[in-house]
Amino acid sequence: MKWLQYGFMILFHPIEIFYLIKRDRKNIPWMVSLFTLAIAVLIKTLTVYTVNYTVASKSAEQANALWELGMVVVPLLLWVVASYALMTIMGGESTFKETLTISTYSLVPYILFTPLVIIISQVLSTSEAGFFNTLQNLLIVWMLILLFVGFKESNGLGFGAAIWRAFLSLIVMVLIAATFLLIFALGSQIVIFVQELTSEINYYLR
Amino acid sequence: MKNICRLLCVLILCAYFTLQAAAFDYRDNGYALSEDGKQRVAIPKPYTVKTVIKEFGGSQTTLNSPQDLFLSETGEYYIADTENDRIIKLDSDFQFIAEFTQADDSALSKPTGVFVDNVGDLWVADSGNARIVHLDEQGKYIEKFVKPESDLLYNVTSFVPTKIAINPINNYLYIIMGKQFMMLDAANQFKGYVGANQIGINFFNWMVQNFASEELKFQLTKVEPPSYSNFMMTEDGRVVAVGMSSNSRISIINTVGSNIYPSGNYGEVAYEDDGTPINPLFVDVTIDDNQIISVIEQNSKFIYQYDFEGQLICFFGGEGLSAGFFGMPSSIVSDKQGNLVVLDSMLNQIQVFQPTEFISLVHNAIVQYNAGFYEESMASWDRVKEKDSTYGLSRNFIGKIRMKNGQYTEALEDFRLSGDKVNYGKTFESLRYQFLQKYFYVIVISAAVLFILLALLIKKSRKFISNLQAKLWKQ
Repeated sequence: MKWLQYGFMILFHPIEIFYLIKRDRKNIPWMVSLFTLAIAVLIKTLTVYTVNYTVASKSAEQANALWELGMVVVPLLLWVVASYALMTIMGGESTFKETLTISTYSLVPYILFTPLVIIISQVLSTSEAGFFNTLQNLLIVWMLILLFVGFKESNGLGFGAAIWRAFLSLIVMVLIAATFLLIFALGSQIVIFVQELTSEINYYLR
Repeated sequence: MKNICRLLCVLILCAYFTLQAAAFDYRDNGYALSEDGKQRVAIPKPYTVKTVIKEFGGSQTTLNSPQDLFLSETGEYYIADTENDRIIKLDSDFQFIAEFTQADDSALSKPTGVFVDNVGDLWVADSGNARIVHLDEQGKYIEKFVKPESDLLYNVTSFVPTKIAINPINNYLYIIMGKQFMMLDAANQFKGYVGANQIGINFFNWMVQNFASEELKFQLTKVEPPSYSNFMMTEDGRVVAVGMSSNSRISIINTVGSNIYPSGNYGEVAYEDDGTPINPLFVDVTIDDNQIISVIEQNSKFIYQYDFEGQLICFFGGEGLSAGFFGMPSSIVSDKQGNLVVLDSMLNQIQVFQPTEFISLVHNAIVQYNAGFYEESMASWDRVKEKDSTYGLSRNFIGKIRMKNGQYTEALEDFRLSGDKVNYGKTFESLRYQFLQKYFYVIVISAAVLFILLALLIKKSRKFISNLQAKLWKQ
């Protein structure tokens, strides 16, 4: 119950709520962030199916639920891992669980207001798609601001230091993503190599 | 018993191979694209082959790599038989009338374009001799046109005209040379490019204009005109051109020089094995009396047909040796009966395609729609739907007619299924307007109530939020 109230109060007093979460960090349940993430994914997927056809960027036939999941979870987890990893070596104060919880709480405005935006979209025409996109972008900007504020507060940083470290975290994010891409590329090369080797051996044995 | 078994086996094998061959070669249908434009959808056959002509008269019985076919107003066909260095004239039944090989004292060399003006004079793009020759009806030499003197043509080294026509409105000679489309006047003077792109003022151009040195300016601002490969001149002086610019592969250029055809991605982009995109290569275009545009795409050897609004009607053909397929289609004209005559520069033949009942119905319905006969058009589209209920274009046109008739809800469904977002939006707006008119008072009152409730809620929630805040701090 307390965690739901935190989620609601994020909309009005984010800095205080981040402080309260920090104060409570010994007993944050894992369920909180998991639940928030799951709802965010659900909302993102539902958007594709329920938004008015006039403003939809892609049709429901083209939609892929797994892709929508990835679009929410992957960037967020990358940010959490990158900022936590960076702040452990740059004098941060937050734990991993705390970083995760605060970051997922930043999704709350997106979760609460996207249904409203979808309802508004039902009366919008094709020529008014710009209005719809602006609303969506506003929600994303709100989320980004909350992410930044959470990062700043949970690590007890000043404004300038927070900006510099957030920028570094972004670079770390890119590095992590690049590493995964590299591992994926090399892995596929190894798979291809093994495949070719087995086909050669098969041919030789025949 | 053994023999019977053997016989059976052979029979089955034979049947299998013939069936397989048939399945491979028997593509007896045309195509349209799915509403997202990514998949081919089979539609009933749009055209059947009426005749295939391989034998022509004159000094050579067959053609050799012919590049251009022209249909004069009086109904004679002219073929630029490029590798045989001649122009041949055929009557409307493709019977030999005359052949032209000489101009002045020198012979024609690799003619690639031919045009007949309204007087009956013959104009030949004599590419091998780098000139355009003007002959009279009997083939007597009148004059020639060579490379015009102009400072604007600084990068033109050799003058190799490939396609020509005369605009009946301003009497300029329109030529395609290389990939450039230009005009010449009767005195062999350069009159400018046709369909040239507008160079707008943007930040980059402004910077170059103000700060670049003369040499740099020359290098940076050398904007090339868009490239064209072929064109057709209509009787009222409009130019239907095809080219390689990515967003206007088909354009209709009116007499003041602006493109009135909607820009879009015409044709289909193919992909090589490594994923490199291959853009469609349109080599010839024809527009018939119904304003239906047919273009030849030389990579896939398909003929694509569009209406005047830029909507794909169908495409058909493909690579193959049998009738109805193409080796290397090089030129297309449409005759007065609505047939398509296609010249093939690899198989050295002409194929005459006759419209089937299906495509005639479609053309008829489009013409009726464009003329404003919506009831009749609706009836025609219903008959099209009887023949192919999944044909996307019929759904789109039925949607448009329903929108004009005020049946918005049905039209919405038609537009959604045919993927036409623009018209969907327009219909939606009409529907919304109707709804607003009908329930105006209800909407205003409910909005007012909602507003008051919201104001009350905000007032209450102030207290609620501060209470919650205090409570959370205490925990």
